[in-house]
Amino acid sequence: MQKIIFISIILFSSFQLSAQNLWGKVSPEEWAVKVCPIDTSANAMVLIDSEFVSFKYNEYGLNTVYEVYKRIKLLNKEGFGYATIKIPYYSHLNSETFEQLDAQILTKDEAGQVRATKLKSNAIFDEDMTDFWTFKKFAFPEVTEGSIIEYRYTLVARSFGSLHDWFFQSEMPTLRSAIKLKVPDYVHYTATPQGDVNLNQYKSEPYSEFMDVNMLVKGGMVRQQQAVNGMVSYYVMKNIPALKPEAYVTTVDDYRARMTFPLYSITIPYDKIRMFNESWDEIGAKLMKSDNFGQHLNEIVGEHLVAAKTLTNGLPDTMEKIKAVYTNLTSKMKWNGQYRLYPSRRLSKSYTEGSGNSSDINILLIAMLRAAGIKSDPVLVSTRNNGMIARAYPRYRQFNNVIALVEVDSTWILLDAASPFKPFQLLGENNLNYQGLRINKKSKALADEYNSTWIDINPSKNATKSLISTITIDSAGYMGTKTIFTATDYPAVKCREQLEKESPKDCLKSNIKFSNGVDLKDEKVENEKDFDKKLRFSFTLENKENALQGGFLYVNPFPVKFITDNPFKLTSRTYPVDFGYPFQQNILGTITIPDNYKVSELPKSMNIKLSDGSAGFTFLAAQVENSIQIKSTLSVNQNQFKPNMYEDLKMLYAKMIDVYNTTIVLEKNK
Amino acid sequence: MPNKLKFILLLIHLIPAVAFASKVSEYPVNEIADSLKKNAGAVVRYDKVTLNIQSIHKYAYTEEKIITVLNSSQESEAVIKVWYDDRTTIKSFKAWLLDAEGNMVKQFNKQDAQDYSTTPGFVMVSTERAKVWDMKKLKPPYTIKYNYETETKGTFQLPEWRPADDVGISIEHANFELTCGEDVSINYEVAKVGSRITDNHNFQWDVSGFSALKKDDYAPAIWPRLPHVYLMSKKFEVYGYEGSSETWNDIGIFKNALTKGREALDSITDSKLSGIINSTSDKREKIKLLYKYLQDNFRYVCVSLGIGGWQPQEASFTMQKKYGDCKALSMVMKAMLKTAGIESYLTLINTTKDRVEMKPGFPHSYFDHAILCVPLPADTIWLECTSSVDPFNYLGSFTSNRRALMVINGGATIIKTPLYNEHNNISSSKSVIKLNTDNVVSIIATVTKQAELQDYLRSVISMKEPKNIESAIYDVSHLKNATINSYSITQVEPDKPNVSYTLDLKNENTIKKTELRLFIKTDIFTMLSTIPDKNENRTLPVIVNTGYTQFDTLIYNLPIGYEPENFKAVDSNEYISEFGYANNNLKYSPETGELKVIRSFCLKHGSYKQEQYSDFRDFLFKGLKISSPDLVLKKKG
Repeated sequence: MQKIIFISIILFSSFQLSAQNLWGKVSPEEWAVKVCPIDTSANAMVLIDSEFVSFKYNEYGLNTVYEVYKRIKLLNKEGFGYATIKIPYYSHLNSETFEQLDAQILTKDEAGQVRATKLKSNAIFDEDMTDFWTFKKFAFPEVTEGSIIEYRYTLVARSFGSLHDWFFQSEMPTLRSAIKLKVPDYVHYTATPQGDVNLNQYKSEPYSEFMDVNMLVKGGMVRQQQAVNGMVSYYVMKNIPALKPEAYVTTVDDYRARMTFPLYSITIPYDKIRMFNESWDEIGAKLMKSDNFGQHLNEIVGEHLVAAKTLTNGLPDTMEKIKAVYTNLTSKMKWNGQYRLYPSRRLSKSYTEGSGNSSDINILLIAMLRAAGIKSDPVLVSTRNNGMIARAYPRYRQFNNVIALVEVDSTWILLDAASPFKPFQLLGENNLNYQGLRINKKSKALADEYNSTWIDINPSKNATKSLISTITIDSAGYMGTKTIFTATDYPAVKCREQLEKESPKDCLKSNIKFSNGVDLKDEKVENEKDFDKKLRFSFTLENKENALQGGFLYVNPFPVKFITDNPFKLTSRTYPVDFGYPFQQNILGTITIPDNYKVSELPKSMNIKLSDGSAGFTFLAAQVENSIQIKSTLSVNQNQFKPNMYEDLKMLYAKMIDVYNTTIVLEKNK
Repeated sequence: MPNKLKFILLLIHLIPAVAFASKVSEYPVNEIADSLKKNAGAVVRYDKVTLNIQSIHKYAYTEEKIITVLNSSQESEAVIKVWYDDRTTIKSFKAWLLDAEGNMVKQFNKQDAQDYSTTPGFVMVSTERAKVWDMKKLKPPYTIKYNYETETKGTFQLPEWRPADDVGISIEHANFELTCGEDVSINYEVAKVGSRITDNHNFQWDVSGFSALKKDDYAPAIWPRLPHVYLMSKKFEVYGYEGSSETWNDIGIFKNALTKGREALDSITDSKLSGIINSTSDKREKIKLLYKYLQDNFRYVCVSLGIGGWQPQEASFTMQKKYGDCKALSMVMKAMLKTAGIESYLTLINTTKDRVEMKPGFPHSYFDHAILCVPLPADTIWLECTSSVDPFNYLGSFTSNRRALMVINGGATIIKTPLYNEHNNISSSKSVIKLNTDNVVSIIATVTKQAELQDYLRSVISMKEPKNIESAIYDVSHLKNATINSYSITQVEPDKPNVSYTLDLKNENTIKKTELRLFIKTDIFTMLSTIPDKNENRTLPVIVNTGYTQFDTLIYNLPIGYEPENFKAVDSNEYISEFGYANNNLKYSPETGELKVIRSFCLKHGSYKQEQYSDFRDFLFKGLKISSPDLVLKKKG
């Protein structure tokens, strides 16, 4: 009989991970604190955020058990939004279930009495997020300033694989975040920090105990007490600042300080060692063979297949055939707004009914192209708001969307038939997340063998917005401005979406900034429904601006522009700036110098570039005979900028806005 | 406060239960007509309310409402609140959440509600509660459907019917059915509804195809423009007190009955108060001293238990506890003044001015607040008894410029509270603006805000949160992107509605230096910032609720060697219109480089016809240019 060495649960005095110890017990300091000590602007703060991960067996095998306890203090009314909690869990096939979930709110009244109100179980909801994930959602009642909310739950994962990431950082400042893992030697994880992780405490020590274990013996599977050795590890971070979202980022989640635990290997007694780095090839193959995904492409009957042949019959060119099928699908199908990896039903049914999720539509595209004899494969994608793919950790749950790769001549193109208003080869903006995984057959001979290849998803470089104005000044000094506004690619998609719901005037007003009180009229729009052409507006400004003062004309060279305030307001930023796609903004103008006037002062030209050339702004004001030519261009040549470029970007934008505020001075001829 | 807000939202009455079969899929979002989606964040698909006033002692209410939330701007419509207290019981409640296609996603029952006390944070004890069902569970668009029944004892306050209660909400169909018992007789006021009145005891009102209102600038209040029905029972009873509403005077008689015998203070208190006022024989001074005593020693706390919602607690109780709600504090103030031989009158008022105006021809239970009116031979003193920081004889935007009901012996009379207009709401400042050698523009200023312009700032200062004070000062001062280096509150006058403070700022946009010129902006501290949009189809009158005047002196210390280019060294410009005026006075001394700008801008309180909207816009545009001119100086030689 092995000696039982009890785990020394001498948690460091500060390792109080036990929810049992703390539940309902709030210290006088926690009651008294009115302002967050690490961030005086915080509206709420996390006092304790802790998780205990352990393992246990049931009749089906080894389960991972997550016991979480969180305590938050609501400092003022603006923090009440944090009293609505969302806990994500992997609900697909009941893989993860809650064994316990309690929540309560503690409030101290004027007399110093503490009142605890427990959350009723019927106030807790499930909200589906994707095919695989669900949110457990609940809101605390009777929230007041100074209330303390706490909740604890036990989530049991029916199988085991890589552990959930533990996020140290959230949108609230956190005083203490701690995770404890008790892992039997059967399983090995490689704990890997990501983001700005500075552990205050880290400890790892071995333990021994008796555990009920499933064992394979001659007669079959039995459950017996076995001595089990393992490691208990603690990771603690204290005084973690809040992660503040700002403009231009894919998803802030990608940059949160966190600990990840990819599974390295399993060694179950009486079983072989299994290494868990399942490859992407294996994942791709599994998906193609699954009824939920790849087998849809093996449907042999359906209206969609007939249509594909009819539409392409007689067309000589591969590209023309592709366009014919693509156009048919995009005009027939109405996308329901959902991004999914799996089609929701048989392809033929989606086609007949004319609606579906993103997978229904794009898998349909692939099926139809194949029926027309064109080689096409699915490309698995994780959308921008779903987070970047971690290639080191192959898991198919990382994907939430699929697009199509189509071979044309000796190269290939990517197509996305789901989101509307796009020109032919533009992918929906949410798909611009750097990479996708293409799954294709190894060869004709090996019918069931697949290759998975990473392909770069490079956004097109044609996203442009332009304003071209002709400005005249009458004898009384009033400026008359006629402007043409054009947009291509994603800016055009956005405008076309707006034109579905709003008038051209409202669309212009939301995309362009005008001087105070100046209205526009005679607005016209061209190519609204012709997605492959530039979207073009023309309009005239009310001539309310009077440039004449005391014999001088003070002319505003930018009566129309795209921006008036700097979007970069922080003093520094720890995560990258992501514009989504490279773009260019041009503002051009021709100002006719009135008779009897000449140029007195023109603003200085400007040409500034970031040190690596990744973005720049140019401005030129020059006299050409009797007119002044204004030309300004903002070029952003890559979609992402590292945090160390933030200051420079902020400065670039500040200088650009400064230029928009300059004045051209004309004086009367003597 | 009882008679106030709780009444304003969905309220409860009883009716025979109506069965609603819940179909599998109903009210899909795509069936809503485009005209009803325009400017709308939510659409009332169907609303049916029945109110049965069985006698002057009780009524029963039912409502079925189906509302589609189109986007986040009106998501609050998906939070259902049903008020109840010791007179009202909720008999049944059911709700369903439907997705955009009309499929039922989730069902809610009475016990799924969160139960809240309805009174705000500083209120202590109240029997008023609300059951709340938060149905915001999906991403819009989605539809919620609910029905419920309530029963209420007492008919002094009847439910208001307003199926769309905000801008951005349109109505497909809504219907209100009123039945009165034999002994019950009703007065009502309606707008934008169709009526079908069978006889004096059976009424029906409905609305169909109402398009959502938009929020317009300088526009009249919203609630009067939405379809509504307001009711008042000619004879009513509540907590055993009966009354009549034939005239406003009758309402006064009812209120007198509630306050009877509650005004007395004991003799010890009497002598204590005499001690406070015996230093002066001037009536006004006595009122001032007693008001200060009230502000220094009493706290606002609402104690509304049952009848307590309408009947003030006894003055002697308030004196002893040193706390009370608006009625109690006003009553104790009245009692204190009485010991000094000064008559005063409880005045009932409604604070939600943007919503409803008291109509002389429609007496009804309309009030949510009480103040005290002290008429003197030469003028009238108004006292807000719930505030420990308000200046003496000042009401502020909370209760200014509206009709109120002054309760006098034997009844009541309609009276109007003071208006604070452009002669009272004054902002003034003096600043020195320097362009430093490193091209940083520094601004040192002293600012004074008066009357309604200082209401918000005064209350924020009294709460003593530095972060909020700085933020309030930034907003109230109209700093145009300047950065505040530091600030200091110099005075919060106790007897006058004035607040003064100093600022140390920097703002790179105020002075811009180019090779040949200096471009000067004078728009710092300018209160008028945006001009409302052009609208040739404006159908609403133009309303300026808060008239104001601002006087500013800006002294720029500029480098020497320049001369004025678009202005004369000594110059003045003026612009006067019926809407207000603007002027500037410029003085530049080339020897010192000092440019002095004295400017003022006045926007008058008033209301104008819709045809004048375009002229009004022109006034704002021109007024802004004259009062905040852009000045240019050129390098000499």
